[in-house]
Order: sequence, then C-alpha cells, then structure tokens
Amino acid sequence: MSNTLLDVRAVSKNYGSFALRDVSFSIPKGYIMGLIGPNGAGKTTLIHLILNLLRRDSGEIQVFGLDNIADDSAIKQQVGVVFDSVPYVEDWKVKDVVKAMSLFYDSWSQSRFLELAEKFHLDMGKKVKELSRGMQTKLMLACALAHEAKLLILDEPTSGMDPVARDELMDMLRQYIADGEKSVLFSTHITSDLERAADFITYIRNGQLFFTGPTDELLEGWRLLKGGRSELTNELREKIVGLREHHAGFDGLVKAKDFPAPPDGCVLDQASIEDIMLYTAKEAMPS
Amino acid sequence: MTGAVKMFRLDLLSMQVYFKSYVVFFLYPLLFAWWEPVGMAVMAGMMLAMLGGSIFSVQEKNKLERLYGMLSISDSSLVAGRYLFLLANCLTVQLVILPLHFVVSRLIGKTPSGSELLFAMGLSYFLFWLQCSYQIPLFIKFGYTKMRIWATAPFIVIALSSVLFTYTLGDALKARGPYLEKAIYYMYINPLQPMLTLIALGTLLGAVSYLISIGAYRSTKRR
Amino acid sequence: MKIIISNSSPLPIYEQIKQQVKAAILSGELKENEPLPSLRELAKDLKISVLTTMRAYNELEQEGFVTSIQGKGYYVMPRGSQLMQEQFLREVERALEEAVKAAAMANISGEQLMEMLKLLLEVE
Repeated sequence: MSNTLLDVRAVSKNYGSFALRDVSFSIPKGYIMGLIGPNGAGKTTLIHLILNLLRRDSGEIQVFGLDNIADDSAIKQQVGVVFDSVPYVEDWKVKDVVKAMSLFYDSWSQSRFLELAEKFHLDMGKKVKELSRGMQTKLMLACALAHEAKLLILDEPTSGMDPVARDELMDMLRQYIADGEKSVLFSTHITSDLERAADFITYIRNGQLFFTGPTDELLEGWRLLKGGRSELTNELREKIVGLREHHAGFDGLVKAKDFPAPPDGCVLDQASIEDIMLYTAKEAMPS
Repeated sequence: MTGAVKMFRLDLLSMQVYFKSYVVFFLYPLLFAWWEPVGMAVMAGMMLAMLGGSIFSVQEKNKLERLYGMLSISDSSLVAGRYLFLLANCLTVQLVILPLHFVVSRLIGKTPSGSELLFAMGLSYFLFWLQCSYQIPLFIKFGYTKMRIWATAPFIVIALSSVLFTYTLGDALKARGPYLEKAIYYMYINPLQPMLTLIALGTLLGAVSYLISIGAYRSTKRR
Repeated sequence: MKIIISNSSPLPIYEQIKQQVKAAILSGELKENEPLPSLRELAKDLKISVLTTMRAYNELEQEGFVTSIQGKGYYVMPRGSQLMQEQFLREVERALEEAVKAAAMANISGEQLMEMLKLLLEVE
C-alpha cells in the first residue's frame, strides 16, 4: 500500500445553492490534517463525500488506495468517525450503542472500548440523550478507537468542549498517530488547536480549495502588515488582502514573499491561522 | 453473519425501546374475538402497515442515516435487513395474534374453522406485502414525515371498503351468480391453494419492492 | 535531554528545537552516537506537530549534527565530523562579523578589538 491514506482528487459536488468545486488534497499515513473554512464553506459536505454519505458529481476519492464507492464496505471497517452530533438512537444506553457498533466491525475490541470508557468516565447505563455534548463526543471517539481504524475522521469534535477536554482530545490524536501508520482528518473552527498539532492544513473557502499543505507552509506564507494611513500607497493597497482602514492606521494580510522586510514605517507580524482565515474571508480572493 | 442479518439486529435494537407499547396489539384478538379470522386478518394487516412506518420514524428522528452510512454494509444488505425486520414483525403477528384470536374466538363460543385460520394467515401475509411493497420505497426515498399520510391513507380506505364489502356487497355478489359463491365457498373449505397463491403473490410483491427500494436508497445519496 | 519550547520566542518552534539540540551536543550532554528521541515521541511530548520535529531533525541532519538511520532513528554525529565543524566555523565567522560591525559603529579600532578578543580567550 502506498503512503497515502486519503486521496481526494478534483472532487466537485453541486448541492442546491451551494457547490464544491475541484477540491484536491491528500493525507499521508502517520499525520494529522486540519480542515478549516468558514461555516457553509463545504467542510461537512467534503467529509460526507469522503464517507460516501453523499455521491460526488466528479473526481475521485481513494481511501487506503481503494475507491471509496466501489470498496465502501472494506474501507469502512477501518475508518472511525466522530460526527458533530451523535448518530445514535437517543434512547439507547451506552451499552446499546456498543451492541450496535460491535455488530458491524470485525476487529471490534470490547476490552479496548471498556478501557476507553473508563478513561472517559462513560457510564454504560446512561442514555445517549442524557450525556453532555462533550461526553457524547467521547462516546463517539471511544467507538471509533475500539476497532482498528486506520483513518480517523472528526467533524467539529471540539465545539462544546471545555479547554481541558480539548487538550485531552488533541493528546489522544497525537497518541493515535504515534505509530506512523494511522492518520487523522479533522474539521474545526478552533484553529488554535491546529497550530501546534496539525501537520497539514486544508483550507476551503466558498466551496473551493484555498490552500492545502504543511501547516508551516501556510503560516510562513502570510504576514500581517500594519502601518499608518500615510504609508498606504495604492501599490501597497493592491497587495493587501482583507484591508482594514481605521483612524489609527491600517492592517491587512500580505504574502510573505512580497514583503521580505516591512516597508518604512510599517510593521510585519506573524499571522496565525485565525488571522489568515479572518482576512481572507473579508475578500473574494482571485483563484 | 451476513450484512442483512446485522441490519435486522440493528433495527431490532433501534426499536426495542418501543416494543413495550406493542403489547397493546396483543389485546386486539380479545377485542375482535367475535369476528371471523378473515376479518381479524384484515385488521392485523392494517395494524402492521401502520406499525411498519415506525422504524422509519425512529430513523428519521435520530438521523440514523449517518450511522448506516458509517458502517461497513452494502446498500442491498442494508435494505434487505430492513425488509427482514418488517417481515419479522409480520410473522410475529401471524404466528401469534391470529392463532390467539382463533383460540379466544373458540373460547367465547364462536366456531372458526382451522381452514379459515389458514386462509386468514395467507391473507394477512398478502395484505402485509401489499402495503409494505408500496410503503417502503416511499419511506426510503422521501422519509417518514413526508410520507406517513400518503402511506397509510390508501389502506384505511381499503380497510373500510373491505368491511363494507363484507356486509353490503357480499349479498349483491351472491346474487351475481352461483359461480362466485361457489368460489368463495370453495376457498373456505380448501384453503391451501388460495393460501399458497396469496403467499406467493405477496412474496413476489415483496421482491419487486425490494429491488425498487435499493434504487430508492441509492438515489437518496445523490442529493 | 531537555527541550523547552517558548511561545514568546520570536524563533519558530523548529528553530528552537534545533538550537537546543545543538547546544546539548556542544556541551557534551548529548554524546556521540546517542539516539535522539523519536520524531513522534518528541512531537507528543512537546505537544507539537510531527512535521515540525521532522523539519528540525532534517535540518540538523543537513547541517551535520545528526544522522538518520533508516528504521532506527536519529543519532548524534561525532563532534569531530566535518560538517559539524563547518557549521561551527560558520557560526564563529558570523559572530566575529557582528563584532567587527559593532566595533566599526562604536569607532573601536582593529587593535582594540584584537585586545578584547585576547582577554576573552584568557577567561575561557
């Protein structure tokens, strides 16, 4: 098997008033990829396409080197999913969830699940609807980890989690990829989780791919430029993305290669993932 | 365990919370003990049809499509499992409720014959498939909430008309000719052939419906 | 081995790791042929991404401080290795250049600079 666990190639999907166009990215085995983008940009659609919950209009998706439609059943044995809300019958007790899940996974390990349930303080007798949002996510995670999943896909797993739980989750993801054979794809709004943990970032805007590659590449590709009104020449204006003008001056995002040094009177700062998202959101970027 | 059986067990698990309410249905034989088995069969058939929607209702309420989509199971096995589950519901009724009704009827002094019971079982099997073949693809394609009225209304109509048929048109048919009367009489004394015919017809309807349902399920992903 | 990442440092994380590993090698804390923590272990311990540790280690390898053995990990190169020496030489050169520049700005003559250097060497 090659080193690529997930390969999305030129995927497009028309979905009513919304469309995903020509999106391509891939995840090699042993790494974490963060999927970011504003709400409605297509992150969840992309995840549903990868999981074959939605049929793509064009392009290819390969998981473990297999086509995600033709080899759907084989692939699903080794994929673990954490959705943004529990896909279970809300009246089920945790032990019912286990019964349901273990039916379908050849490599289900009850001992592994119980280990995780204890670690997460999951009560086997509690109903799904009685669990808090954070506990529901932990339940999904325990189920995803209890069978030998080589690819873990999480859709907004940390929204609704307190910082301690988020930190624990990120630690678990690092532990998960530690053997170099498994990978993680997770979509999130909380970009600070990604800056340290994600090896790769895929940024989707308006249904199109804005960036995909190593996190460092994204962070080193952009800078925040700040200066006074008088320094804002027209030439400068053209190079700034998401320009914000105010009484004390201006700020905006610029490409790092355009500005090896700050222009006179201006300051160049590191841009965080959040900065990049905020400033690029303000503008329609040329594709 | 094949995929279909796994899905069947999953449906069982999904509905088990609600099985307690099914106990009510076991009272029906007592309520209708004064009817003939055929009437009970029609009643049971209607009941089943209305119940059939509930697994779809649970599925819709809990958005279980995501669960189904995440599991390692082919489309055809998934649909087959659902049909298996609904068939199991039907068989429970047939093999429990109808004989129960038969026994209670006898207890209160009525005299249904064994052949009436057999014929009734065949009829309820057929009626079950008549309704489900029609309902299931619709539920799969359009979801429970949108379809529940369309799915049950035609059968309420049929149920009412068959009651009317029995009491009013029955006499008109008798007048129509001895052959029809002979045929109906014949059915009662020799139920095996019509019963088998009904079973075969019902199963055929079910098989056709199954194939349509697979297509319906696949089309929901194209959305 | 001790590696501490500071969020307030202007240096990117991979650079911080490099610096601290080099310092450990220089001070003898990391001995010749000693294995470095595995890429993924380090990433997990420091709570950073694997690619970051990979970059740090790769650059350390390019600069001659460590060597990677397929399937086994990264090991410290002997101090006498040529590449390492070259690196150190370059660093010394750079530091001296800085000193020369600073001296020029402060109007300090070449001889005064030499004197200062001699004094410092005696202290070492």
